[in-house]
Amino acid sequence: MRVAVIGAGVIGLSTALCLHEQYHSLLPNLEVEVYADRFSPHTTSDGAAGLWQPYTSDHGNLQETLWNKETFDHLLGYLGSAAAKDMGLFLISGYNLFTQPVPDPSWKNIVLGFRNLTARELELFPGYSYGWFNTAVMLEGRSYLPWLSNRLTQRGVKFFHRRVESFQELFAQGVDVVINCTGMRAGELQPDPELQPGRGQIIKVVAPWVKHFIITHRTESGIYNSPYVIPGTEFTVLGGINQRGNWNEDNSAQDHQTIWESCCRLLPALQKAKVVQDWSGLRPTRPRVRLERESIRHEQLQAEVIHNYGHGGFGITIHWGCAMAAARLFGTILQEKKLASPP
Amino acid sequence: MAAPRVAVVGAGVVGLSTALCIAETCPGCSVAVLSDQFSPNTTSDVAAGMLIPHSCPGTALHVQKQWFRETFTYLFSISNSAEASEAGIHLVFGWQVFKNSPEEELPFWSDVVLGFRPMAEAELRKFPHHRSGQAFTTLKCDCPLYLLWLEKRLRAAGAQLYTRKVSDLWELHSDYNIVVNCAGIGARQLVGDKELFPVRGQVLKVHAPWVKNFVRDGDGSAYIYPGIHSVTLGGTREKDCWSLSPDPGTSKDIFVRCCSLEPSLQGAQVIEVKVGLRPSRQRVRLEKEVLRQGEVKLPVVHNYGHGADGFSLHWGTAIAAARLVGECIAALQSSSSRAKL
Repeated sequence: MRVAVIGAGVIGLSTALCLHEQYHSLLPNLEVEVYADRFSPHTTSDGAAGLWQPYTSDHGNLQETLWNKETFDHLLGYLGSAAAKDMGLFLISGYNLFTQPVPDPSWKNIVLGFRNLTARELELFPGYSYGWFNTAVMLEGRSYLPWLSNRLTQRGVKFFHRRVESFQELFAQGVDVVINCTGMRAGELQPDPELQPGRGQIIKVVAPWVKHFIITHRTESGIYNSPYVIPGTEFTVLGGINQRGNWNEDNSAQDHQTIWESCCRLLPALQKAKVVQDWSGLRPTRPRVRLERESIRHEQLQAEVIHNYGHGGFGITIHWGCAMAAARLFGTILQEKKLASPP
Repeated sequence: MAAPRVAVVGAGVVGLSTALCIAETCPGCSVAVLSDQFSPNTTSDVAAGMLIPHSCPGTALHVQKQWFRETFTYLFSISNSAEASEAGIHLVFGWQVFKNSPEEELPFWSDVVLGFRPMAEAELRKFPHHRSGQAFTTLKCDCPLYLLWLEKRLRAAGAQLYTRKVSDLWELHSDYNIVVNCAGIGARQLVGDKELFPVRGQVLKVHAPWVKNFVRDGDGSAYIYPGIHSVTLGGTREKDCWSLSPDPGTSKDIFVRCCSLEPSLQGAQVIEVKVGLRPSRQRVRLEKEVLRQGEVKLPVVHNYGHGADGFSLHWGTAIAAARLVGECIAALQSSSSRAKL
């Protein structure tokens, strides 16, 4: 049984790992392969700050809220372990700021210590009159992706550095199931008008005196189009750009100005921070995550594709829940082929 | 009387902040800081600089609270300015956890720090050996940055800083009109204060930039304070111990206790081990005294004995000491004008 995962961002690698962990003992002939034209540090996941936080409103999408929770709980479990440091995983606390009162988010009981901001805390942020404080986790892509790759390599999963042009190409090679984790470029394998880029730009700075994340929200701007500050292990990420429909992966000087000025206004202590570099990436934005099976006719046979893409600006936040769901879909495929019962 | 000359003895957080407060509230004064040690070799440089007061039995609670509030307010505004990184001042959230329930539900400083609340069940799960806890956001003053920033502001205010060992306050009477004694643990020898005693603290400064929240065991046996360039691990409280040499066994114990609170520290590299002697006393000595030899008088303002609360209370005691200096100046000026009559 040959399974090919296309994509080596956080979704591709975690799905590959989850699948292998769950099925390799049930299926001795299971071969999992990862195909990608971009590997860490050149994936979208590498540019993300790595903060676990879903959007402020789930639009009633309970399924995604559950996947977010599964991911958070999974990561919490690793916190006390020796692996945490290598994974780039640690606890972090911080602020979400609003210009008016908003309902509590779906994830208020998932994170730790969720509460509203006090009046004195709000004094720190002129222009914002309401907010939350909570403890969540950071999972830095530039550590997590190599960690996932190491786990996969240890399990004998093979990596192929190449651009896959079609699902058929892999089926013709003898692949039985394709897991499509191609993120932003899923449309190149199968057109998907619902998948749109949400272009982001960030500035990496050195500001080790910043210990908390600060995410601002302005209803008129849309998510992540308002300044945010997220301190990592080595760098602090400044952001606040989310341009729908913009495919440009080059850094924009104007966006740099916008980010810099708005973040310094938000947090005056940033003014002396040393700018290291800018980075731009495309959030694979979709009204909902595409996580479903598709049967494709290939010659005389039925070939299976499991789609797992469209995680927008919450890929890291939701990745493990989606990986588990994709693994369950794989289990159903096995059952149908009468190869195995799901674990 | 010409511009009053004020000598501040001591260049730790108390000495420098007191000198700065005097320079700012008494622009007519000339201020000099005299100390045998400057940053990075003061007791203050060893401390993590966290604004979490302890309860000092001898000082009235409302006074401690006022000093703490004044310090917190002052530093809070710096932390939210462009000066923050140079001054080494930043906010940090974290948890104080207790194996047994704490003596008091609400410490006196709970409404001065930000967002103080009891820890939730889910938060306590991270600390299986502890039964309860408090979560809050407070300020941290990183040394040597903060002391160097105070020194810079002092120079900008026209103050002079001299490396000089003062063996006896009286030796300053010919050059200065008023002496402010911020000698910390040095006051034991300098003014023979037997009520002042060291409480030895050993700390490890480690490289662990992924630690973003502080953790403190309410019994003081372990604490993890993330700073700008290092994380401070502690703590020990050895009463009457004068040794400034790091003890390797103690380092190991501190590391083990801290790893139990924060397992990710296993991967942390130790940068250095430091020892400081907390200048402890029943209460902070904050009062005037007049030294005399014959007709010659030397007004002294004492401001020492802050124990573990140097950073937590420094600006409040600096303001109080500066006020006492103001009273000394007024007394000198009135006696000098009487002398002219």
